[in-house]
Amino acid sequence: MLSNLKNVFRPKSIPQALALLEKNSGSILIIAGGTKLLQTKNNIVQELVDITGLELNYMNDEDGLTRIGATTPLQKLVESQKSKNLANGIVSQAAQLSHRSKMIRNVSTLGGELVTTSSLSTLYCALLVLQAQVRIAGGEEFALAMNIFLNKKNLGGGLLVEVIIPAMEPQTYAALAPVFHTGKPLLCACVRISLSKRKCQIAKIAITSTERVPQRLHTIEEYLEGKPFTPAIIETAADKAAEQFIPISDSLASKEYRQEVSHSAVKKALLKCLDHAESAI
Amino acid sequence: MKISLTINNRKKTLDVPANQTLMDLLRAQGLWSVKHGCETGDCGNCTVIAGGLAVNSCIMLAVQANGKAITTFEGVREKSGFSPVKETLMDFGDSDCGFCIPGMLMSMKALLDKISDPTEEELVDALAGNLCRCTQSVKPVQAILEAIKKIQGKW
Repeated sequence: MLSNLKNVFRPKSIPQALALLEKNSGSILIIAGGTKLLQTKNNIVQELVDITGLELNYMNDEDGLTRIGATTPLQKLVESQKSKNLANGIVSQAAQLSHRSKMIRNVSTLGGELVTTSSLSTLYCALLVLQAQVRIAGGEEFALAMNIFLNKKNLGGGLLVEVIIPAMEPQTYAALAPVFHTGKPLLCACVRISLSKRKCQIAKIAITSTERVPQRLHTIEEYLEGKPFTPAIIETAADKAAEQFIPISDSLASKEYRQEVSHSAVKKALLKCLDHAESAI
Repeated sequence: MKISLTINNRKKTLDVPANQTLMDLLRAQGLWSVKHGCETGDCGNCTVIAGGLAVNSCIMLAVQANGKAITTFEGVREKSGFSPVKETLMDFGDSDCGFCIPGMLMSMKALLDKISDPTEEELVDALAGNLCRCTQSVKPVQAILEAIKKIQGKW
């Protein structure tokens, strides 16, 4: 129960929403699905701006870019054929892993997930390796690369309006591999590999676990680039992943256990990319 | 705040406090199948169908339901009589205390409204947010898979 909530505004345009945010800064929050806000029992918020009327529920392809509106529900990302076809389906799979409950995915939105998540987010991780950008409205519109957005603490009164995913180059494959513990994802590895003549040209690897910002495994990316993409190379890369990945211990698992399973997660994700590559030949 | 919505096929215009949840609104209307469980969207006992989708009514504000068609278990029961499902649940010894059953059935209905012949995987995914503290959700899934065969086309 949001005990001090007095009013919910329903703007019909982005400028209207921004004006409301500017005028009422302090005790006003943006709501789309609202699942996270209602779970927190926030007793400070007095007014909400419901942005579900802004027509930001879409998924379009335009000039080689995929644009996903901020109020697109996670379940739509799970189910839509467009999402399943995008980047070997990792956005769809990541959306499904975001919440175990379909009821929550029916209401939770992409923008809400990106703005409010404080720990393990498979969506962040997938969007990070796909080098997605987020478009922010507010004053002048601007786009932020996902890695910069992830490190921002707030949007300075701006409004996240869409996520832009660039098209994957030919012979580029993506995969994610989660590791579960008692039904909850413990960590998830996401990879994107571009090949040329069976050699790895570009590698992007990230693992999400307990922190908001996933860890990019740059050393392994550098190790893979220029090498033949074979099971033996993948095995060595996975060994290195377990060395480079530095998680924390918490009630779900120890740091050492997370490091150990990161090996199999990275290996599994890379092997899936190899499978995609072989089936594409 | 004034909202207009349809609850179990009856149009209503209501004046609700901004902070009232959809669960509290529905229970205030006498719809007791909408159980008051965790208030955090974890247990699924408050599941209703809003705009064709299964949702946790405890983490949705009543004002967010403005303009939507809401269906609770009472709405389904009135329409179908519900005996095939009830019988199957009893056959499987599924319903121990029964607290979770209305929520589970609403998740099941939302799925069947979209997919008439769901796979076990789809059903498990649809029911993943409905916790059964008595049977750990194994029996409900078995029972509902069986019930689906009996009730196809009747809901």
